[in-house]
Amino acid sequence: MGGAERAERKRKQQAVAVGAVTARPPHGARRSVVAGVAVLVLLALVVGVGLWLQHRSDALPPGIPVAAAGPDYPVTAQGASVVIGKADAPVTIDVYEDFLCPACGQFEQLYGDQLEDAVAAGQARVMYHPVAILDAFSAPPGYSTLAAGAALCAAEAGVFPRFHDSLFAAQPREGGRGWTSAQLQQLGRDLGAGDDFARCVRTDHERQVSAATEAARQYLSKLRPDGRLGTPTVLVNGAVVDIGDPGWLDEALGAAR
Amino acid sequence: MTGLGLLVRWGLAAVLLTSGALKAVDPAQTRVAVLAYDVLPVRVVGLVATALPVVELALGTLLLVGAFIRWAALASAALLVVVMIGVVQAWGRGLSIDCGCFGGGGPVAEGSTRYPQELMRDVGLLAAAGWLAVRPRTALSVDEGLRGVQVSGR
Repeated sequence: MGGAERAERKRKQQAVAVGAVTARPPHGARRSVVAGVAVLVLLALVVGVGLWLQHRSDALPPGIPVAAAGPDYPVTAQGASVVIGKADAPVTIDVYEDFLCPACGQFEQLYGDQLEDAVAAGQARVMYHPVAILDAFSAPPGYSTLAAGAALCAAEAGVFPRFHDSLFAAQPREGGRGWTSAQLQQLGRDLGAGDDFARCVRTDHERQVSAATEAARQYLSKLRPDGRLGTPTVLVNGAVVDIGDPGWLDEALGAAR
Repeated sequence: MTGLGLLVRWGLAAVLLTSGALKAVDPAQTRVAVLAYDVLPVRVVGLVATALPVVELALGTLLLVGAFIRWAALASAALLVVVMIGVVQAWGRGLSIDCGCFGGGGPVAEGSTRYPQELMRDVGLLAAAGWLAVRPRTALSVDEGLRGVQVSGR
């Protein structure tokens, strides 16, 4: 009796098992496959949209817009620095800048034109010291060094002022894509620099720029109250000035009048 | 019970989708945020900053539709643990950063860090992910839909 019951149950179980293997699963399996594929397609779509969003927000214009020409003044490259203005100008202003530093961009926006006017008028000479302290903050890393090196090349090629102004006017965002070497070369070409400039930009300036940055760090550590290399740092006749004080430039120039 | 699970799942999905989207639309800020933890080599930061929002969006999507819930929950929990380790090490080393969990991020002024709040929020999210990893059966899910097929097949 128990045996018959057991046999019956077993028969039923086998039937279910056979049914499950032969009839049902293909149906269920098909739905599983369809659902799996649908989920994969959805995932691919989401990943695609995510990457596209990033790419779109990261894009810089295809070329660097050329800044307007300023007044005329002499430009000389001095090692890893660039001097604009006459050597006998009564006031010397040193500017330490990183081409990626947002505060430097603001500084240039506020005082760039005034500095150039003062230089053209013979009131001051400005020594630009391009340094690289934000190399990690661009994608790919190293825009600060690349731009600093290119600025030195631009000084040799005789296009420094507009090259410098263009890079600050179209400054890449911190953390964002930096202008590429090819784009910097093109900017030089747009400004009338020759092939030597492009070749110069392609040269690796890492050693030169890092040496200049280190030298600036050493030098400014004694002058700045915090003892650090911050950008922009501005010196008037060798003393650090507070550029947060809007009257700093008038004061600097007034002392010479 | 599966209804409550659904709430937890959609809540976690919403958080992941939001944080992923906010990071994806501002890759520059995301790089600054990842860099600010001061853990990864500079060359790797870009890769992580690109992958992180995509991973968040993918996990959020899986949880939203309810596919591979247990795995998505475990992966989310792992991600949360990694982020929490990042925040704790920043706190411990005295860095002043924002976690950049929902976009933003990067260095902040000293004294305006919010490490305890950020960690509490992560603990809450970790609990949600843990819940789902233990009880992945929730209503309105692809997983459940497929399970239904197999059950009705017998």
